[in-house]
Formats: sequence, C-alpha cells, structure tokens
Amino acid sequence: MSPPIILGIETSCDETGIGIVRGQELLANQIASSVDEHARFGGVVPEIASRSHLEAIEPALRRACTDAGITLDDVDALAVTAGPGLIGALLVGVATAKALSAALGIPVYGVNHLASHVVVDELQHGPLADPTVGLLVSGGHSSLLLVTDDASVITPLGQTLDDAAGEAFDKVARLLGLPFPGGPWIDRAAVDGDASAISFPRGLSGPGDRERYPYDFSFSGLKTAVARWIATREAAGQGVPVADVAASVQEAIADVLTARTVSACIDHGVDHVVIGGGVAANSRLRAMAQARCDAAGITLRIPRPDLCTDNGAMVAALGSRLVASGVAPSPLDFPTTSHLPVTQRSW
Amino acid sequence: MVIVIIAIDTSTSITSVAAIDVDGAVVLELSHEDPRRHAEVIGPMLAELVASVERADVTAIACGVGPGPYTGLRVGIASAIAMSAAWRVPVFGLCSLDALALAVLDQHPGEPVEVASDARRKELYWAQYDSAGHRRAGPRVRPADEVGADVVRGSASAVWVARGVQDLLRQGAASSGREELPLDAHGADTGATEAALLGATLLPARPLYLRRPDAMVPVALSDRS
Ligand SMILES: [Zn+2]
Repeated sequence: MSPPIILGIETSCDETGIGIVRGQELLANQIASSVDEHARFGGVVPEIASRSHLEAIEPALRRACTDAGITLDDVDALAVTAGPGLIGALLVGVATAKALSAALGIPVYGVNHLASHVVVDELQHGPLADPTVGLLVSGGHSSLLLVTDDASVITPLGQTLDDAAGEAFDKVARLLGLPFPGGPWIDRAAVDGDASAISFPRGLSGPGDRERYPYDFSFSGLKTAVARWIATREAAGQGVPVADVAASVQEAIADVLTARTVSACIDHGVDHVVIGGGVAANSRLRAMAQARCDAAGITLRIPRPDLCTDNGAMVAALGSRLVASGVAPSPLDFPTTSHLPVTQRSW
Repeated sequence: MVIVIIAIDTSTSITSVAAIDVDGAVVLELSHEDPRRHAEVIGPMLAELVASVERADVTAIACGVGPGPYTGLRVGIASAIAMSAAWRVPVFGLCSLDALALAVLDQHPGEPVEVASDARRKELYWAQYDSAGHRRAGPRVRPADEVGADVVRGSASAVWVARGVQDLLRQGAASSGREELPLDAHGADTGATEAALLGATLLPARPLYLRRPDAMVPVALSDRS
C-alpha cells in the first residue's frame, strides 16, 4: 500500500501555497505570490495579502491537483498553517482546509509554520538527522532551534531580539533605493561589491553578550549603522557605493547567523544543520554556512529555494510526518493565532 | 433524488450555515454568534451540515459575499469555494443585504425597504429595495448619521438594520426626537434565507469589499514574531 497523500495549505503571509505529498515524496508545489502588489508599500500589507489569498487559493488548488495527477477525492489528510502569521491571511487557508475536511470527510491538521520550514527539507534530502540544529531565517523570523526525537521535539535555542534577518535586508535595501523584498536585490547588488569594504556591526557581540545571548540575534543596530554610514557619505558629497554596502551588509548578516549556528552545534554536540526560510536562498549565507560547517565537521542541509520560501509543500511535509507518527488530527474548531510557539507542531 | 443547496454566510458577527431543498424547506440550519471566531466555529458546523445531506443531492453552494467586515466575511466565502471544489458543484455569491431585505419583506410585505449593516468607523453598509425585493440602490458604504438623517427628513423609509447596528443609527436620528428606527433582523443573517433567494441576483463568490484596502504600515517593518 502506498503512503497516504497529504495536501498542505499555506497562507500565513504573502504566498498562497498548495503542496501535495505522498509520504515524503513531493507531488506538487503550487505557489501564487502577491509580493508585487506589496512592493510599492515597502512591506507586506495584510489586507492586500488576505484579498490575494482568497483570489488565488482555488486556482492554486486546481493546478496542484493537476500537477500531482490526482483529484481532491484522492487526498487522505489535510494540513494547513494555523500560525504564526497574519491573522486575516491565515484565516483564508484555515477556512479552506476546514471546509475541505468536512466535504471530503478526511482529517485536518492545523500546523505550525515554523516547524514546517524545518521539516520541509525531508522532501529533498530524506529524514532529518537526530539531533539537528535548525536555523530559521525569513522576513518574519530568525531562530535557532534544536530538533530532536525524530523531529518530534523542537526546542528554541535563541531568536532575534528585534528585526528578523529578512527584515534587515528589506530595511537596508530601502536605504539603498533597492526594491522590496530586499534580500534578492541585495544579493544581486553584492555580486560586484567588496564584502570587506565596510565593517558593519555584528549584533550581540559586545562584552558579556556571548554569555547572555549565546544563540540570539539582533539586526536593528545594523540598519542604523548603514543609515548613518550613508548619511555621512552623502554629507561629505560622496556617492554611495551600493555594491560595497550590499556586500558588506550581507557579510555581517551571514557572519552572525552562521557563527551562532556553528556554536550551537558545538555546544550541544550536534553535527547536522538544516537551514530554512526565505533568507536561506541568500547566496552568501549558503556559501559561508557551507564553509563553516565543513570546517567544523558539520553536515549542512539547505532545501532548494522554492522549498525555502513559504510554500504549501512544507505544510504537507509536516502533515505527512504527523500522520506517519500517529499524531491525532486537530479538532475542527482549532484556532488560528498570530503567535504560535515553535514547540507546538500542531493543534 | 432531492435537490439541495448549501448556504454559508459570515458577513456579520454570526456564522451561519444551512442546507435547503429546492422547495425552500430547511434541512438543517446552524448559527453561532461571535465576531472573532468565524473560522473556529465553522469547522464543526460544516461537518454537521455535511452529515445531514447526501453529497449527490447537493447541486450548488451559495455564500453571502457581504458587504461585511472583511476578515470574517472571507471565512464563509473561502469555505464555500472549497466545498464547491471538493464536490465539483457550482458556487455563487449573494449580496448579504439582499438576504436582510428579504427577511424584512417576509414580515412586512408590500413596502419598499432600506437595510443596513455595520461597516465600522460609524459607517453602514446600505441598500434600498422596492416592495418586490429588487435592489434599487446600493450596496454602498454610507455614514450612519447620513442614513439616519434621510429617515428624519422622510426621504427614506425606515431603515432595517442587522443586529448590533441600532445604536449607530440612533445617533444619526437622535436630534429629531423621532421614534426608534427599527430593528433586529437577526433572521436575515442566516444562510438559509440566502439560499431561498435563488431568484435574486447571482454574483461571483467574491467579497463586495466596497472599500479599497488600507495601506497601513507594512507588517514586515512593524511586527515581528
Ligand atoms: Zn515562513
């Protein structure tokens, strides 16, 4: 008998994602993004995101079924992001999932978006090692996680105290006159830049910080430093070397993220790392993480870009894991929350 | 074989679902009032509804497309779209104010009707109907005091309002000393009424927002999790 087919629904931010898996085999991963509609506002506008989800979800559902070569009647269980995320946006996916569950007579799992970002790598690289350190970096989150007990226990080690890494990219991009979302633009601009041109601050690296915040991040100071650096330059009548600033900022962010990840591994005796979230697509972060993990004898896994950014496959992947390990489905009245601790995989 | 239509409405603080047969007989009707929990309560309600019908009998899904507060409104529409996809039956929208008007006309036939529901910010979603129930104006967003003033001037019939809106309208008419503008039309919030409205104008299953989205401070820059 073939493993169960799980359909995953993701609407926590600006991507409408429908993913379909059979066991841990990826059958479909349809993503409709409203990112272009948010670009002129310099960030995600919740009401615009919610409206887009409602427009996009049924076509995405149809395309995903076509890609997977199935009909909705073939689906064995549903998984949907129940949080964290934008409430109005989440509700579109949750309502869809509950109605599908009722109509098709199949169970639904209201799952944790953050846990999905970690587990998704299993679709590409097979079961996660036990234990694994997870680095979750996106526009909304920057966390270090300890993943144990066959990926059933996720313990937060640290997180950002202010801006998320992706948010830092967005803010710096804006200072440099680059479009939203900033990450890909900074990455592109940095190609021609000198990463050692400017030494931007590494958050939480002052005296005593290593002890107090061993696995936490802080990126708000970076944005301030960049703003000040640009202002000084302009006051002196000099132009802003966009490529050098982009490369140096990217260097600072990648440095902090990878250094803390490697120390978390060493401190906890872990030799496997998985990186998830949209910022995992950043080329400098990938290269630096690879070099540092290699040097420390750590195996690094990063899913391919379309599995890093928000998508339905990651939700389906977590749903599939919950089904496989016999976790009870969520009650049909499960709530939707903007904040859901990463320790809670599902309702 | 019976022909059954499933109706869903979340355009007010009430989540309502119903199954109604082609003769207008209600097979099952469920409602729950809570302005913030549409997406929670609708799950068990839909499961109960599904259990009360034969899938093969269901020929269409109807949903209230508002106007109404967006976050809740989208829950019902998304649910209707999903059920339509699951059962491969058509889905269509109905103006939720049409349902309110029909309920009023049911009790007070033969008179033109104006109806309103809460649009927040001291505004109302408003529409006007003739005595046969045809929409003549609206739906529009109007200031509550403006709607109230029309009634005071006698240029409008009494405005029948969805539950929770009376106080808002009273403010507009208070200066007149005129007796209270009606009323609680709770029954109109139910999806069953909407399903009965099949003779009314069918709309796509898409919200009647009537307002542009607020371009507030982007979350990526203000919120963090
Ligand atoms: Zn995410």
